[in-house]
Amino acid sequence: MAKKVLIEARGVSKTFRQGLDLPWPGLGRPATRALEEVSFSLMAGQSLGLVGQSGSGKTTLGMIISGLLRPSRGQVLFRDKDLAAFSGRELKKWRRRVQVIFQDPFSALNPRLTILRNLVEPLRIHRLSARSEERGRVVEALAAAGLEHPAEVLERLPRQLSGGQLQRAALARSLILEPQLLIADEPVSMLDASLRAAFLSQLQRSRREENLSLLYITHNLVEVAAIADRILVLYQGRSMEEGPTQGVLSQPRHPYTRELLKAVPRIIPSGPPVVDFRERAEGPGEVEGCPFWPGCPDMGPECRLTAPSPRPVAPGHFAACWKV
Amino acid sequence: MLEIRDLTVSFSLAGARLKAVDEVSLTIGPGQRLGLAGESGCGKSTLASSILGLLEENARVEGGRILFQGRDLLALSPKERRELLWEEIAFVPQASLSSLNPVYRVAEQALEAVRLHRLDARKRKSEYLERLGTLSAAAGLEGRCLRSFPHQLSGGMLQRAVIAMAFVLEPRLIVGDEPTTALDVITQGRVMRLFRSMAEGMGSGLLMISHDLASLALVCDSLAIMYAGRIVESGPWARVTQEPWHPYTMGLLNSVPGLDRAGAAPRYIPGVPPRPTEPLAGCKFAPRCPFVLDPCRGEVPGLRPGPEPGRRAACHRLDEAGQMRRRAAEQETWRKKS
Repeated sequence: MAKKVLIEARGVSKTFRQGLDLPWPGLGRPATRALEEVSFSLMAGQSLGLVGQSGSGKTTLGMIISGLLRPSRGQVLFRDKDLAAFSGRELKKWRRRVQVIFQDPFSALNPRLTILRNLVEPLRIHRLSARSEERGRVVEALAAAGLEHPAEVLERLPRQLSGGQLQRAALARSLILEPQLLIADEPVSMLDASLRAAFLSQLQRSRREENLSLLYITHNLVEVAAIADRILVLYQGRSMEEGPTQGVLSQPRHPYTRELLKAVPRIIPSGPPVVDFRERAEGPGEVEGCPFWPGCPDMGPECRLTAPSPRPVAPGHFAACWKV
Repeated sequence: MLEIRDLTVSFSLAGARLKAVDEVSLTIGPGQRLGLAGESGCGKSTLASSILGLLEENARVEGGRILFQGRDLLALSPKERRELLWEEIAFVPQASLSSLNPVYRVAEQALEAVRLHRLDARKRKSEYLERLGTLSAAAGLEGRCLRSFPHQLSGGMLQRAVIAMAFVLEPRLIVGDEPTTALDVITQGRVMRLFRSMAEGMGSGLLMISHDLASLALVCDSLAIMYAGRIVESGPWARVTQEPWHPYTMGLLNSVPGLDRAGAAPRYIPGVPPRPTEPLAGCKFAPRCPFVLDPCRGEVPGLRPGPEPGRRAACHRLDEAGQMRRRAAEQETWRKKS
C-alpha cells in the first residue's frame, strides 16, 4: 500500500524585514533571508527530524508548516491542497489536525487555568465533546500522554507541576484533538536528562498508537536518531541533506552533516573533541554560494559561486553539495 | 583549594524548613575541573550560590563549612566577599543576556569588574582593554563584539564575552551554572572548549554545574552526581562514567541518548525525584531504585570510598556495583514493580 503524502513543502523561502519596509532600494532596513528554497514531504504516520543550529531556520520552517507564518515564496500543501488557498472553515478544521508542542513547557499552558480547564479549551473550540464527557476525555488524554495519576492533577495549576509533567500535559492537549500531524519544536531541551528520554519514549509510543505524523525540530542529532524515520539537515536557511535516519547517520554525504555528527558530545571521552569550522559573519543568505563553504574542508571554486540544489545520492537520500 | 565540608542549606517555605543541600562535602584542587550533575531541584544551584554568597533571603546555612584557600567563605563580611569575587572566584551564569546591563557596551561592563579590584584600572585602561581583547579573540569574538551592546550579540557570542570577562583577572576558581544550556551543540562545544583551554592556561579550578552530562564531558576531569540534596557518587570522570557505582548514576548515564543506540528504545529512570517536603527515612533514591532492599529504606547511606582510590558512592549495595551495572543496562530492570 502506497503511503499518502500528508504535508509537503515546495520551495519554501522566508525573508524577514526589520522595521519599515520601504520600496526604495537602499532605504529599507536589511532583510534576513531565513529560509531559501526548502522542500520536503512527510507521509502519513512518518516522522521527520528537522536538524540545525540556532539561526538555521528550523523554527521558522516549523512555524510555516504549522500555519503560524506565511512563506515569502513557495507553497505548503496539506493533502495536496495549498494552505494559502484554505477557506476560514477549512483552516479551522486543519488547525485541529495540526498541533504544535513548544520548547518551554512552563509557558505553554495558560497559567491561570487548571490543567482540566487548559485541556477542555480545545475540546470546546472544536465542539468535540458533550460537557458531561469532558472530564473523562481529559483524564484519558493525560493518561495516554503518560502522566501518572491524571485524576489528581486536574485541579492543579500549571505552576504546581514539574517541567516533565507539564510537557506531558501539553502533549495531552495536542492529542485530545486527534491530530494527524504533530510539530514538536525542541520539546525536551528544557527538561532534565532523565526526563528527556522518558518523554521521547512517550512521544514515540503516542505516535505509533495514533498513527501520527511528526515533525521533530532540534539542534541535537542524537534526539532525532531516537525518534525520526527521516532527517532533514538545515544550515543557514538551506537544506543541506535529507534522507532516511539510518542512511544519514551512518553515511552522511554532506560535509556539514559530517561536522554535526562529530559535534555530538560523548559521555565517555574517546580522543580529543575536535569540532570546529569557520562560519561566515554575514547573515544567512547574504553571500552567494553554498552557505557552508567558509567552513568546508572540501571547498572548491564552484562552491563559492552558486549554492547547489539537493541532488539524489541514494534512494530517498539527497545532498546539496557539488562534491557528491 | 576549595573544600566544602558537610554543608547543609535549608529554605523556609510556607512555614516549613526544606533542606536543599544535605551534608554535602566536596573538594576541588588547583587546576581540577569538576562537573556537578543532577536534575532540577537537586540542590546543585543552591550549592553554587552558597559558594558565591548569593543565597536567597529565605535560605539558611544550617551547618558545615566552605573553605577557599583556607578561608571560610561563609564567615566573610560583604566587603571581604566583594574583594574575593572576580579576583579569586568568578561566576558564569546561565542567562548571559539577562546578566549584562543592556544600556552599556560589553567592554564597559567588563572593565567595571577590573575597576573595582584594581586601583590602577583607570590609568592602565588601555592595557586592560587589550587584555580583554586578547581573551575575547581567544574566545573567537571579533573586536566589534566588545564595542556592541548586549542585545546586538547572539547567545553564543554573549556567553563567550561573559567567559572572557570571568577570566580577565585570572581567578583561581570559576563557577559555571549551566553556562551552555541555551546553546546549540556546535556552539556548546566551542564554549566548553574555551572554558577548558582558559582554565588550563591559567591553572584555574572549575566547578561546572549542569543537568546535561554530555556537555560536562567536554570540559571536566572529575564528576560528582547529586540527587535530592546529597552527593551520591564522585570520582574521576572516565571511571565514573565507564563503571558507575550508584544505581542513580547508572540510570542517568542510560538516559543520555547516543548515536550508537539510534532506533533503539530510549532508556530512562521511571518516576520523579522526591519532593523536599516528603519525609524519606533512608536513601532518597530508594523509591525509584530497582535494587532497593530493606536497609535502603531505613538508613541514609553515607558517601564512602570503594575499591578504587579517589572514588566514593553513597549506596548500601556498593559491593554489588558490578552486578547492578549489568542489570541496569536493561530498561526492563527499571520498570516499576507495582
